[in-house]
Amino acid sequence: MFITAPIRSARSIEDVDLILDVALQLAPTGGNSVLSNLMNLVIFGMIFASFFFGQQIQSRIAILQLDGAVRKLEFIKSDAKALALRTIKEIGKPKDDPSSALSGLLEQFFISPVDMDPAGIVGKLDHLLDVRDLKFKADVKKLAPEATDSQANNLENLVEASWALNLLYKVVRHFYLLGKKTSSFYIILQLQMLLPLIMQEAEAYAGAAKAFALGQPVGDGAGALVASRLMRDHEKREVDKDVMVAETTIEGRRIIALKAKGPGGNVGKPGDAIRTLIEENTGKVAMVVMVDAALKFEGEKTGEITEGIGAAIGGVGTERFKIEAEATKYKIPVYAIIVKESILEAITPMKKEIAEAANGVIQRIKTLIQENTKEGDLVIVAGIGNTVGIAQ
Amino acid sequence: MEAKRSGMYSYLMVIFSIIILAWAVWAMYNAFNFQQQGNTENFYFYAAASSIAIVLAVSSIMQMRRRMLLLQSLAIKVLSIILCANCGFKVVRAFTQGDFVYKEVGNCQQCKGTMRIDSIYAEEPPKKSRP
Repeated sequence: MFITAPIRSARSIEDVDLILDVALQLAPTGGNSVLSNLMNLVIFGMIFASFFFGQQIQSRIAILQLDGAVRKLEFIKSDAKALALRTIKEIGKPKDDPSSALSGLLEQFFISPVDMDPAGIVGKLDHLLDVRDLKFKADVKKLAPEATDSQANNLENLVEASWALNLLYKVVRHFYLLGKKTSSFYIILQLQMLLPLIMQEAEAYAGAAKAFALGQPVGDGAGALVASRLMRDHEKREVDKDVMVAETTIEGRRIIALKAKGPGGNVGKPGDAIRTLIEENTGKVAMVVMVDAALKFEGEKTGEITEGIGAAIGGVGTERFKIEAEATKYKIPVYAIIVKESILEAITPMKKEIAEAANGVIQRIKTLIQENTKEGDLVIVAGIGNTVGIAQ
Repeated sequence: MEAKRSGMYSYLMVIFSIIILAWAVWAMYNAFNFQQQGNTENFYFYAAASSIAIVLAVSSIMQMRRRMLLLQSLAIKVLSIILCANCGFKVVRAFTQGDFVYKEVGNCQQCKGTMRIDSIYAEEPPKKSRP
């Protein structure tokens, strides 16, 4: 049946009345006071709003949360930069104000070599990393002319931590602003989901900056600490770039222990050092044992020691490549002993559990050597990691 | 000093939140009483006020809890463990700038041997054991 316009509007009014009646009946007391009606309307409105504008409301809440996180990241980043500046002024005693030069350093970038034709990419990457490292060191030395080598290494690590925080802040801010600008729920949601991990990383870098400013050993130095225990009171020499070596004996086996040159913040190039040592001994090496800190899974205990096979070394992979290539060339078994810790523990002051694990690792090395080599054999023990606050 | 002041602020905020929470529980009890009496206006007022107060108090307590955990983690002490190579005499002191593992830090009080920093590590404050 055809319904005329006035009748249709009358129907609509009746419908609305009906809906309102139903809504009003939801009142807990069934009362008909003005406040009771108003409350029911509000509840009804809220259900309606959440039904149709749920996603917008959710993204508004996420934007608020991200806004807070971006502000916090900015604060952490500025704090780390201020710490770097203060330390440079204290230690380096520069003649000019280093603020602008430091800001420039924090904006530096690194372009990875092209990987469309991967042959020889390790050499190219290694070369670029060397150039970057030398440039960074030279820039820091220019900022802090009075700093000793060890202090300059710590400053370099401190500036690197500030650089990482600066980059983290800029990336998060970029996606936050992009999400806000495009009102893209999914960009905002992805950033919100990653936020706890990002904030954890930022706090770890902030802790690292403080540790490097003071020259305190960090959790990542577990391997270096083990090597330093083996090297203690033995004659040391420098092989390759920033790597120290000392010879000792364990259970009648010749042990060559190596670590990065400390006590300044340094990781050295253990890949090159191991290759040099193997070549020096014409490949007559019974075993290579690598000791390093490794990321634990949530729920695992900090300082737990585990053994495995392979080259235990982090970074972009160039050092691992060299060790694997050399070990394969001479058919040398490579064993790994790791000390477990979280990302936060790896770059903040070394925890007691990690420091105490060093003696446990030495016991494991002894057992490994006894079981897999014979007297008179040569074993290389490489302590991998940042050696800040650990001499040899 | 700053950490102490910050900790004090957190405790005061928690106490304030607990007071608000207690009031919210009382308001909720009143709301139910008003509902039974058929006093709808008062019921809505107290129920709404109580709900808002509960949300605010609980969120404030949660935030303060996180803040206190953060403050606790910042209270980590870094210690230098100094050992005498001759007699094993051990001294534990707070880390000072310039300390590093194997740094010689003078002579032993007992045997006049060389004292060296044996290790440097961060120690967390002892955790309160739950009954």
